Amino acid sequence: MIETPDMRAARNTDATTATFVETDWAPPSAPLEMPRQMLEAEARSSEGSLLRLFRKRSGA
Amino acid sequence: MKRAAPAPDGRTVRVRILAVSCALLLASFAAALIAEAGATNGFDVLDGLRTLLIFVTTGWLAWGAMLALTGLPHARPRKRAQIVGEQPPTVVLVPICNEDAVATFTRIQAMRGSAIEARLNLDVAVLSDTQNPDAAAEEVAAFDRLLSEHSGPGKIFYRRRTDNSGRKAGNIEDFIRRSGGAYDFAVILDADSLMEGETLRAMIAEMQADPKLGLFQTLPRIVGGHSLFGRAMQFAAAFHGPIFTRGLERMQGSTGPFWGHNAIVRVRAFAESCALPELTGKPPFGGHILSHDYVEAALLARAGWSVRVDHSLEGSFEEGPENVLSYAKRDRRWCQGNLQHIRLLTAPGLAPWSRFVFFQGILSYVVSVLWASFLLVSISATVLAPAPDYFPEPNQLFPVFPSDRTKEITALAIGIVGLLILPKLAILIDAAATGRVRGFGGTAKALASLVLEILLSSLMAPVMMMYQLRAVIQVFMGRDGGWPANARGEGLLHLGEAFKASAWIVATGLVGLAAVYMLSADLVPWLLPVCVPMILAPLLIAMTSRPLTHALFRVPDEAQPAPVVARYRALMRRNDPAPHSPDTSPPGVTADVAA
Repeated sequence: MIETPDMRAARNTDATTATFVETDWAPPSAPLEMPRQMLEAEARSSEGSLLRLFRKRSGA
Repeated sequence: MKRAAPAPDGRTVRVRILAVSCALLLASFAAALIAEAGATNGFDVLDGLRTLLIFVTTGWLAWGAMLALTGLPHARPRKRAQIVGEQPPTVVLVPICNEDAVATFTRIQAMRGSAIEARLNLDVAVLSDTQNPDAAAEEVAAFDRLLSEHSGPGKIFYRRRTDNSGRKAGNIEDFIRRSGGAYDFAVILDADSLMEGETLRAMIAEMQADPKLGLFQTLPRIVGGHSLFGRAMQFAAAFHGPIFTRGLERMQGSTGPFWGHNAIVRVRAFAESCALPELTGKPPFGGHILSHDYVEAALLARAGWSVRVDHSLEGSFEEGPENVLSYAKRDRRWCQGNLQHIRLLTAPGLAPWSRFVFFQGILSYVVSVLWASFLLVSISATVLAPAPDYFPEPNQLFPVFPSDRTKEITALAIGIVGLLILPKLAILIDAAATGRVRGFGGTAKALASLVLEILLSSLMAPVMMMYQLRAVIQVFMGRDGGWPANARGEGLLHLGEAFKASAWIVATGLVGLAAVYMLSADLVPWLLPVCVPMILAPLLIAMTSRPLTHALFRVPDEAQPAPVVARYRALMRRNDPAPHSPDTSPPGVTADVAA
């Protein structure tokens, strides 16, 4: 099979630099919102003292 | 639309209460025996600690037994839903990272063939996070070959990220953000997944039939095991797996599990609920959520979607690790991921059962620390016990002998072993009664396989405990294990390699046994079942990695491989005729066994 420039572009879809190209072999452009779930603040408050001690000791 | 987490039905609640009560009762019984034995010389702190540890560890074993027993009663066969009208647009997502490209794309080729035969119109998106340029080039070559042979409905996409943010969960999220709007459903696979077209069809139909269903998980059966270790795991998964999963189904109700692959999701439900945050701080407790699948299942339930697992849907396959070291490597990542869930235990809005599932996942690793602690505390309690006082009263004529609790402790040990063995025997009896045993070579062969599997897992248990113990300690000391590529098909290990990877276990076993001998020689026989396998760890690891040229551990898929598995193997022989490919039979394995 002969590779077309569109196919090459479809493969190189680095999230930061590349763009999707509408070809037969590129995923369709159909954006869907995906709201980031809020777990982090809740996680901080749930962190136990034992875990905090370990994290402090290990610098993690 | 935000909804409340689905409430469990009355039956699910009753099953949960019964299972938890039985596990607690058995744990309490074990704890009472230990406490009574400890009270012989006066109940001290060590006895208290020992009682607590045996309560938790026995409770954990009893919980596993309850899961199996809950799954034993047969369910009426469910009438499968059928796709109504036009098939909803569905994409098959295959996230990969430094995998064997030929094998991965060949699996896709086999699945596509099977899907077309099942009259499905599916798109396939291979989502690569591969960093190794050589591996990436192989992926492109394999993709080209797949395209050149492509025909029939549906498209195949391949894209590679150089920024691997969010790892596997981020990889899928990236696709959904860009292209998710085009699909109603997404089947999520691993690189080693194989699914029959008819199975995919049934999954789509289930999603279409139940608009509240957010995720539908199948039970993947392990295929392609060649080594003693791999085939023992394959046998255990095939023989016990469906029963344990049926128990899980009854226990979890509509707050079911997600195992990260061989499942289908409702794309809009997944998009609205499952964009995972990056936790504050550095790994291992901060950063990307590693065991993302558990969290995604919990988040779907939090948003009001039901999550179901179905043990009875056939045609779902995966591969397993071929030796102890591959298993331990994967387990290290799972350990870190599950312990990370400590931070999510009290996140608001989660269904209580989702929290319990997190707790179970955490305990499944912490329990190794608890078993090791129980051993150490028991040794300490015995060594530090005061010498018996035969004449506690002045001018006493006859000596008072301390009561001997050896019988009770032996009964406890037998009871604990029974918790491991009895559910497996019950599964064998059930399999013999229903004829399921035929796929495993008949009752005699299944019994032999089961006995060997129990012996092997008992021998390997101390070695596994040590690897888990190290993993838990490493995580709590802040060492990040990263996300190493899966070691699929890695097989034979030489004694030198095995020794290098387990010398510290050998040393621990030797030092432990010598120390106990010096402190209290009477305790040595009690410790032999733990210390001897540790001392023999290199031998066990190397031996179990060897190909098993025997008909033991036979599973139904060997005698009669599923069509998609047979198709994949045939394609592999053409695409990658290398003699040592993990998917060709190793030398010495009979056709009967290797199929």
